[in-house]
Amino acid sequence: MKAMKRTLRLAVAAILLIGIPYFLVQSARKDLIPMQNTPKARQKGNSKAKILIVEYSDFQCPSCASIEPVIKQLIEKHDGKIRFAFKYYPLMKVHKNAFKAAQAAECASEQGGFWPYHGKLYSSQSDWRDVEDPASLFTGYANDLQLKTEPFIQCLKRSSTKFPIEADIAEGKRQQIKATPTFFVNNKRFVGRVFETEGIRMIEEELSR
Amino acid sequence: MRNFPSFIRPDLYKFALLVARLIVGGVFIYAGFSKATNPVAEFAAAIDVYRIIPSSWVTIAATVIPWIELYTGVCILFGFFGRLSAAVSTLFFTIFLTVFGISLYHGIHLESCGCFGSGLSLSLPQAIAFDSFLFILSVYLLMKPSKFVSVDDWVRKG
Repeated sequence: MKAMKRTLRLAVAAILLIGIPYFLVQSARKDLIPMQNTPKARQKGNSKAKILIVEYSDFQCPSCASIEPVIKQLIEKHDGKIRFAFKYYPLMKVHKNAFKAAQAAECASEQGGFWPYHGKLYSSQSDWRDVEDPASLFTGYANDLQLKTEPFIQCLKRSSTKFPIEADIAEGKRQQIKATPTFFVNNKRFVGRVFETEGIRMIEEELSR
Repeated sequence: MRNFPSFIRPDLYKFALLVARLIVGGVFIYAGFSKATNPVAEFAAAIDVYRIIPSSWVTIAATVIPWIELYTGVCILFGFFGRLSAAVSTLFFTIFLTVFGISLYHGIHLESCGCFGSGLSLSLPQAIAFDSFLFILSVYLLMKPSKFVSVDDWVRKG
């Protein structure tokens, strides 16, 4: 009788102590909202591609800079099979020039020069990341890439340039993005270096089907 | 035969062990819960920074570890399978301290230890200090499992 009582108490304890935490975790998990479309100027590749990669990135993030050539190589290798979309996600608390870099990229985008400017920002990251005011450097890059300088400067000063960046940041927060680079490969999330291993493996497997 | 120093009253000793359970259990519950309720990929990235686990295992580890932490914390806090859960927590802190030590030795710079997912962010030295303290408490709970206000005691008395 006593043994049965003990067993019953053990079972009750086990059910409650396993079930309640599980239920609480499931209740606390937030449903992620679908991502909005990225403006065409920040997309490249075949619009009907089997694989869609969306990257939330910070131009001042060293990991983002180091993974940029990997992405480029991946897209070139699977020409026509991958569509790539870029979203701004400057981590302003730790990277003081990241938002300004995003604004500069957005201004380049207005003149159809987003991708070359995107590459330029990453490749010269060490030149501008610690500068007090990188605006003149960013204007210099625009000039180097043969973008119109005066409209670029005016664009940098306009407050409306911030809107697409802030929209991406808000969306990233709703997606619970905490670090950059964060990738979504056909809606499956990979963060940082894990994209280079598991993310690329998933893409290769998907494309080989 | 005395099991504790003579200058410590038995009832105070019981409360001290209970406090140790509250601290260790509470920390594990917080750590496990904050990681389990966030996307797995975020914790996977945090684990990957240490370069200890092969990349192909990172997502599996990131899926499983938060739940082990959460349930270890629940068991310690409520005094359920006290000795076993204290053994698990001691093992965890041994692993954490080893990993942090290797990271420091290799000069891996970490902005955050990733210990609490999107919750509290600790630097590597802070994490080492904090986990050392928790390791000591865990070892103590392992050596002297606390049955005071515990599920184990309730089950035993059935």
